[in-house]
Parts: sequence; C-alpha cells; structure tokens
Amino acid sequence: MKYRISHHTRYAFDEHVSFGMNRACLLPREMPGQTCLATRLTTRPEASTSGQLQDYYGNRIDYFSFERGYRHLEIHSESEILLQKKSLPAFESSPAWETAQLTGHVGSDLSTEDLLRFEMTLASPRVESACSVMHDYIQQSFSPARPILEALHDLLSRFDNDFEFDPTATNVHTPVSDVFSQKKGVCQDFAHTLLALLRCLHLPARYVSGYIRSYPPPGQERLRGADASHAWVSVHCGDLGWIDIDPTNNCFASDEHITIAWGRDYTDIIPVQGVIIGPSAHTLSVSVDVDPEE
Amino acid sequence: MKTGTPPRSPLDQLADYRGPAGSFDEFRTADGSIRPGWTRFLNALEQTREHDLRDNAQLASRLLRENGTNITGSEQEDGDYRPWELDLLPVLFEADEWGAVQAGVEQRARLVEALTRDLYGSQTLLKNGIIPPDVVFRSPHFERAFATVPEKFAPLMLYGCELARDSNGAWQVLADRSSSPGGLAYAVQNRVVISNALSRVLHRCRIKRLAPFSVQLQEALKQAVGRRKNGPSIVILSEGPSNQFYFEDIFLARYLGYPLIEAGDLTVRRNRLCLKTLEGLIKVDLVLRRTADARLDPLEVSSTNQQGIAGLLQVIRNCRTVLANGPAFGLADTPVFMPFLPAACQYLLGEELQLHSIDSWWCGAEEQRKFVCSHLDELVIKPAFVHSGGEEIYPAQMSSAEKESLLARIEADPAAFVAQRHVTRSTSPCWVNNQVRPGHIALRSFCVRNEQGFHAMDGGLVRVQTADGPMQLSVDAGEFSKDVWVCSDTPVEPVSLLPKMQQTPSLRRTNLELLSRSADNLFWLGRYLERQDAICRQIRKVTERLLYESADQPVPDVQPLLMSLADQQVFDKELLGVEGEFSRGDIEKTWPECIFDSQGVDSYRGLHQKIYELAWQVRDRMSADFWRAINIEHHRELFVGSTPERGLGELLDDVNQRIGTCCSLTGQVMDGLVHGPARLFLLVGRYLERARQLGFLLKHYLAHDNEAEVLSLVTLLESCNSLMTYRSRYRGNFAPLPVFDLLVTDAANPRALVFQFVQLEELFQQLPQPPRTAQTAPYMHIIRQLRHRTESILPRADHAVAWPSYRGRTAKVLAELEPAVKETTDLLTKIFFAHVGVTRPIDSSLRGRSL
Repeated sequence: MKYRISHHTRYAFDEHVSFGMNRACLLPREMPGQTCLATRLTTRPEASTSGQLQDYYGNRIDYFSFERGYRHLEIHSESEILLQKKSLPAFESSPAWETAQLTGHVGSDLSTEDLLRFEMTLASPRVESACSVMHDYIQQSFSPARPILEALHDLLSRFDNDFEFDPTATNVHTPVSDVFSQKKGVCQDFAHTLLALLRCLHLPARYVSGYIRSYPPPGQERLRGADASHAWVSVHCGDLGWIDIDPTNNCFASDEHITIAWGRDYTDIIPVQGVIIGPSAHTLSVSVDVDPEE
Repeated sequence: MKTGTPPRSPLDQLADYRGPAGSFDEFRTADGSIRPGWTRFLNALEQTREHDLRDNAQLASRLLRENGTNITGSEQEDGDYRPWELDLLPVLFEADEWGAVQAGVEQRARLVEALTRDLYGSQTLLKNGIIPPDVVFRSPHFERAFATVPEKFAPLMLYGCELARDSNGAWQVLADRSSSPGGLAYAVQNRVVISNALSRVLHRCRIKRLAPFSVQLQEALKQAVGRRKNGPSIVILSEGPSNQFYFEDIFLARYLGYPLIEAGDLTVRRNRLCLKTLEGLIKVDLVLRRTADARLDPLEVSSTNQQGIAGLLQVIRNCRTVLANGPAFGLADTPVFMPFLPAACQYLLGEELQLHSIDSWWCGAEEQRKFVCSHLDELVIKPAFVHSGGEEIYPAQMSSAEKESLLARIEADPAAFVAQRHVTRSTSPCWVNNQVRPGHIALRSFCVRNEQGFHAMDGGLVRVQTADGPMQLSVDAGEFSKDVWVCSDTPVEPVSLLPKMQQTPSLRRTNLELLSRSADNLFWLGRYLERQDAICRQIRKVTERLLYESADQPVPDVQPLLMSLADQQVFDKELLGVEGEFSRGDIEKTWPECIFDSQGVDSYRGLHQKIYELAWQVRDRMSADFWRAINIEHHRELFVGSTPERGLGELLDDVNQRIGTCCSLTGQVMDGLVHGPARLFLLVGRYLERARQLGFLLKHYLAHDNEAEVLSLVTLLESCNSLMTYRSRYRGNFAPLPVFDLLVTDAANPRALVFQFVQLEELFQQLPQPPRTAQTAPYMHIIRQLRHRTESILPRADHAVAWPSYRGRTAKVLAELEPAVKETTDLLTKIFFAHVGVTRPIDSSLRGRSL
C-alpha cells in the first residue's frame, strides 16, 4: 500500500517573533515493512539554519532556526510511504505470552536489539510503574500460557469497551494512573496506559507516533486536512518480533498505520518543540492528509 | 578562661595529641610515633614565629570574610548565610603516600571517562553483562540526547572524588564527581589564606604548590579548543547567584581569567554559540560549565524547566563549540555504579582498580539484596539513582517497625536502592577554640585532563567533623575545612598563573566587550548606591533632630523628610505607629526600631541587601578593595539592630557607618572602573537616581506648610549636602528662592537638579548608538526636555523672579520627574540590557485526535 502524507503545523503569533528555534520529529523513519519513497520537510519562512540527525532510537530529527523572525511559522512535512501488509499467524497458534517476557537479568552476550527490548520493559518519564489495580486488569487477559496474540486481542477489545475517547478529559500532563482510573482520554493517553499495562508484565513495549488511514462516511468525499497524527503501541512478541497494536481503534496494525518514530513514550518523540523570542500568546493549528494511492 | 591558667600553646597541645581509638590517625602511627610529615610541620612551627596560632587564626578568618568566601552566594534567605571556616592546621601527606592516592584518583578518572563513553556509545559493558542494563536505563541521568554528541567536543576535563580513610588506613572513594566537580575554588582559597597566615611554615615544610594544577587546567582548555587566530574565547557558565556555590564560580573565573556568564548571556546564532554583549554577539569556543545537565538545552533535555541555551547541543554536534565537562558526565556519579566498578575497570582498562569505592551493594541484584536485608544495621541505605549526597537512611537508628517498612520499601522496588557500609573516617588534629582536638576528615581530590591524560592536584579540600558518624558528601557539609599539604622531596619551584610574555598585543583603548547583563547590573548598582546615600542622609537628619532637640521642642522641619521617606516606602508606617501627620511625641520612641525593622527593597536594610546582591552580580568587574569594603559592611549588617539597646544614639551611629561605607564604595567604583561602557552605565544610574531623590525631597518641601521657615530650609540644604555652599554664598540669609535656585536651577552646583540632566546628556552621547536610529535616541530626548523645562524655570536674563512663579514652575517639573526617570529606565533596558530578549517555549504539537 502506498500513501502520500502531508502534515502542516502552523503557529500564529500576535506580535513579531524576533527569533525562533525548533526541533521536529515529523518525517517517517525507514523500518522493516515501511519504505520511505520520498520525504521532504519545508518551512515558511525559510529557515536560517537547519540540520538533521538520527536520535538514540534511530528516528529522524530535524532542527531549524529562524533568525530573521516571523509572525507566522509553518512547518510542512510531506512523504511518500510504501507499506507492506503485515500478516499475523492465527492468534491461537501464537507462542505463549511468557516467552516474550524479559525479567530480571538478561544475561551476557547481548545484542543492541536485546538491550533495546529490555529498555522497553522499564518505566519511562511518562509511563510510571503500574499499580496493583492495573496489574489485575491486564492479568485477566494474560492468563498463564495463553497465546500472546490472543491475549493482546482480548486486552484490546476489553480496553475498547472500558475506555472512552474524550479529548476534554485529559491534557498533555495527565498521568497514566489518572487516565486509567477515569478511563477517558485520547490516543496518547491510551498508548501510555497500554504501555504501563504491558510493561508491568515485563513485556517489551514501545510508543509509536504516526498516521492512520481514515475512511470518510459512506457516500462522502474524504475531507482535506481532516486526518490527524496518531499514536499507538508496539509490543515485542518473542519470535513474532514487534507487533503494532492500536488501543484507540481496537486493532492490530496492518497496512494502514504509517510510523513516524518510536521511543519509550511521547517525550522521546515530541513532534515539534521550540523556543522563541517574542510574545507568549500564540495559536497552533495542525492539519494532516493521508492519501492512499492504490 | 575561668580556670585562670592561660591556654597552653598549640605546640604543647600537639605534643600530647592522641587520636581516638578505632580510627586511623593522620598524626600518629599505631605505635604512637609522630608521622614524618608532621614532624617536619612541628619543627617548622617551632622555628618560625607563627607557633602561636591564635593571631594567625584571626588573620585567616578575616581574610576569608573579606573575600566573601561563603556557601550560600548572595544569601537570599535570612539566616542562610554560612561563612567558610578554615582550620589552620593542615593535613599532611608524605610524597610517596600521596603518590599512591594520586595514581588511584587518576585511574578512577580514566575509568569514569571510559565507562561513560561506553554507556553512551557501544554499551559493551551492558552487552557483556559487566553492568546490568537497569543500572543505566533506569537512571534519570541517562539522557538519550547526549548519545549523539561527539566525544571530542564534550570532554571530561575536570574530575573530582570524595575520599575517606578507613580504620585500617586504606583509602576509599565515597563519591565520584564528574559532572562539574565542586570544591576546587575552596581548596585554592584555603591555600591562599594559609599562605598568608602560615607563610614561613609552609615554606619550610617544602609543600607542593597548587598553581601547577590551575596552569594545567588553563592549558587543557586551550588545547581542547585548538588553534584560534585571535586566541580562544573561553567562558565559565554559572547558574548565577542563586546557586549556593556561586562563590566558586566567581573565584574560578577570576583565578583562571575567563568571563563568568549565565545561560541568559548566551544564544545560538548561525550554528554558533554566541555571547550577548553591548557591542553585539561574540562567538564562544569553549564553555566550562558549572551547571547541571538539566540546565543545558531546553530543546533536548526532557526534564528541564526551560532553562539553558536552546540549540547548545546542536552546536556541539556540529563541532563548533566545546562543552567541558561534556553533558554525558554525571551519569556515573550515582552510587549504583559502585559495586560494578572493579569489574568494569578490569574490562575497560585491563587494570586492577586501585582506589576502591566504599563497600556498596545494589538491591536490584538478587544476591546483593539478600545480603543487604540480612545486614541492615551495619549499612546505610541510599537511593540508587540520585547523585551521591541525597537521602541517607540509617537502619541502625530505626525502631523495628521502621525497619519493617524500610524492608517493604526495598522489596517493592529493589533496583531503586543501594546500601553502603559506614566508614569510620581517619582523624587529624584540629585547632578549635584554642584547643587541639581530633577531627574526622573527608578529602576531596581533583583531576584535570589534557592531551597527555589525567593529572591529580597536589592537594585538595578536606572537610572535618569532630564527632564520628555520618557526614554529608556535599562540599558544604562538615564543621570546617582544612588545607591539604603534600610534602615535596625536592625544592618547590615557583609557578605563576600569569601567561608567559608573548608577542606584544596591539594597543587598545577600550575594554573587551561588556555583557548586556553586566551593563544592566552596573546601571542598577549606580542607582542603588546613590539611593542608599540619599536615604541614609535623610534618616540621619531626622535622627539627629530627634536626638539633639530637647524632648518638648517640636521638630516641624523633619516633616518633609519623613513624608519623602514614607513616600519611597523606606519605612513601614505601621511600625512607626502613626497615621497621617507625624508629630514629635509619636515618633520619638518608635523611630529607631521602625528603621531597623522595616522590610522591603527600599528599607534601610533592604537597600544594603540589594546593593550586596548587585555587587555579587558584577563582582568580576570590581576591584578587590571594593569587594573587601562591601564584605566588611555585610558582616556588620548581620548584627545591625540586634543589640538590646536600639535607641536614637545607636541608630545615628549605625547610619553614620553606613554612609561612610557608601562613600567608600562609590569612591572605589569611580576610581577602579576605567572609562568605558561599564563606568558609563554606572554613572547613568547614579545621576538618574540623584535627580529622582532630589525630586522626592523638593516635592515634599513644596507640599509642606513650613516652606519658608528658616529651620526647614537649613534641614533641606543639609539633607542635600549643600548647606556649606549656600552659607558661602548667602551667609546666614535663608530664603526659599535662593535655596531652591541652588538645588534646582544652579548648573554650577553638582547637587542641583539641572546639573544631573546635563551630566546625563553628556553620558548619553558616549553610549553606543542604538541600532536603527539615526536621530536623537529616545532616552536623550526625555532628559533633554527635562533640562529645558528646568532651565526655563529661571528666565535667563532676569534673575529677579518672584518666588510664587518660581515655585509653580518647579512644582510642574517635579511632577514630571518620576515618570520620566521610569521611562528612561525602561528605554535603556529595552535598548541595551535586554538586547536580544529572553527565550520562551512554544506549545508542542497538538495531541492526536484520531478515532
């Protein structure tokens, strides 16, 4: 499946900004099953300086500075992505979930990938260690020796039943424990909550930011700019490798989830950060288009 | 002494000194003989006239006080002030004994460097099971953003560690300090003071110098930058006066000869790190940082509260600036690494670890946890991922219920705890209150890295606690400090920090660039010195009148002074206990207390505090004499008004002393600062404030009913320091018009209002031209207008003006004065001091809203 993605971020300020600097994590990374045919990041005004690097996890990070100032700033990320359809084995024949667990000492003679997996079983800045109530919650799905995909599938559907999408219920700083107790939030909250649940069973799980293909209501045209950036979870399932699951949409990722970046949680891969010299009041608007090309 | 017998001499007391049982003693060996280094010391002490340590101790503490050596920097909170204490008796080490410590510290520095590089790089220590991965991945100090910073531009330049000697005399490391090790300046300062107080003893003992270490540091910094056409631009980055060790930053900046700056003075432009100065932006090649990791780059370090320099890490990644120490260092400063260092040393360096850490166990490892839980009483429990010096738990002092809950805490999250064995630190003789007593010591040692490798300092900082028991690991813990003397087998060569004479530089007539922030602080120092002078003179006048007039005599002439002081919130009217008009009887009793106890920026004590803080901010520009004067005054200030007797006499005495200091400070500043922007801004502040103060006083005189009374006029002239001038012109003939002419319109009187405006205009001419303005600068416009208005109070040709019309026109000018001063200040701030402005964060991207 091929996608053409366009992601606009716009900052509008009340007064002149004399100087600005940004760090962006907006361009999809290369990874197994995902090929970047073309990527382009442009800004208006044109940046005075810019630079790129691969971060600790291999994500692409872009830097800009704007030394001539602006009133409005636009950051436009465009990409053409080829996704291979992921096929999953029958859930009941997948390995027991315990085979994916990483507990205690992971031994010696480890690879970089081993270390990375181990890291993803630990608490992180936004995913604190789960409480006993959360432990009970996930154990209902992860009964002993249950095939891992079946357990995940069950967890996702329970999660979908129990949690309600509600952008007014949380903000960027709402901790996982609050999201879990009120059972409301947005995709970031759900991803963080799921991470806490999986990590308390010592299952390696990472936070993924990206896009999801959307479908217009039947009989209608897809609205331009109506898509959004999205977040979900990737969990390491032993021999099956990393499997992406989307708690917001109660599904396993197949060929409709385009990955931008992954990390321990949101703080590792914040889409746009920045500082300015100028007024404090500003508005931020984002529009995203995910165009499938058959 | 009540016993009547004079205290015995230090030498006699040292001869009797014995360390307590159960600890290693630095003075005597186990069989009771005095160690060779100390024998040398005792001989030297006996041969010199310095054997009576009492006088020398007084000299030492005076020197420390005058240098402002303290812990809490600007002493923001009351009672938080802690002067630095130094014991004159050093700790002595023989050359060979010290050599082993030195080699161990240098190896330890190499190990910490290699270990940190490995963990931020290929992580072979984790892959091969030398260090468990949780130790690194769980650490809040493992900042992933630092992994992409190139090593060469982020070196470990300075390393320090905290050492103690156990009861067997073996050295153990209590803490590693590789982020920005503290204590170096205190060590050097101690030596400077000791060199004054015990110069002959020091010389006779042949003690190795500390200066070579500083020279090595300077050289190392230069090497790290590489060749630069105009010499490297090196700065020391400080957290500012709010940091409790700000003294160190200032001392190092002066001692090493680099500008001391704060994050707000730096900005990243065109991929280069730049210093904001009045002349514009200047590129920086190397930053020696004294700040925490979390205060480096708000764009990259997730935990920051938006402090630091946005873009700093990118500049380092682009190899345009060196940051020393590099941001990665600090990871290994947490105690959790200690149990793994011997194996890591073997693995990374192929060497046996020479200096072992204090016995440590990490509860995250099953075996180690079991040991900890079964030996609780012998151990100290600490958080694993906090830099050494955080919370310490002593199970031996706990009830069994408390122990149970501690065990539960450990079981809940074992990886979060380490346990260490308590070390009974070695003892050394101390000279306390004229008595020689043993004290337990901890030694902080320092290492500098140049191209050849690490070099440990021949000396260090010793902190002392007289009782055995836990002592915090921070530089400010312990009761007092000591100098460390390393004996030399050979004569000691003199070393100087002054650079060798090179090519004669081309002549300059201006100083190097003035930081925008310094200009700001100098401006306010000028204003506050003047404000203090004026307000103190007014307080003095009121006090004198109350003191010298007999009690039944009214003193209506002080009324305008009181109104002016009240208007400026110099005192708290409630403390005075009066509402509306003040009468003699009302204030007689409450006046001294009211002045001593009033709070607020412009109160009697508040003004001193403000000046002291500003002086700290510009300390690197001030002469040593200025600094000495302000420290003496500050020391006095701590006891101001605390005497039981707080009458008018005491107040008058205090104010007189303060005015004296104020004059001396002003003199020092004027004499010490060469002509240039620094002096300009100070003077602008001074004249602006003098105009403002005159305005307050004159306004309240005109508002007062007794304006024509001779006594009032005399008081006014005296408060404005113009009584002598008036007398020499008009003899005893007092009338409002000539008095006001002298104070407002007489351009020949340096105390007259118009004179201040003329001065300001002249100063404004010399200021750097603000960018993008061809015509008159706006601040110039304001002051020029004020001058015109003031001059026209007195029609030029006609000196015979009637008082009422003079009075009316003056009142109008005075009404405009305060707003004009404020506007001028705002303009100067905007144009010169803020310069490039303050950065603030913007929203991160919106949260996803997909369904």
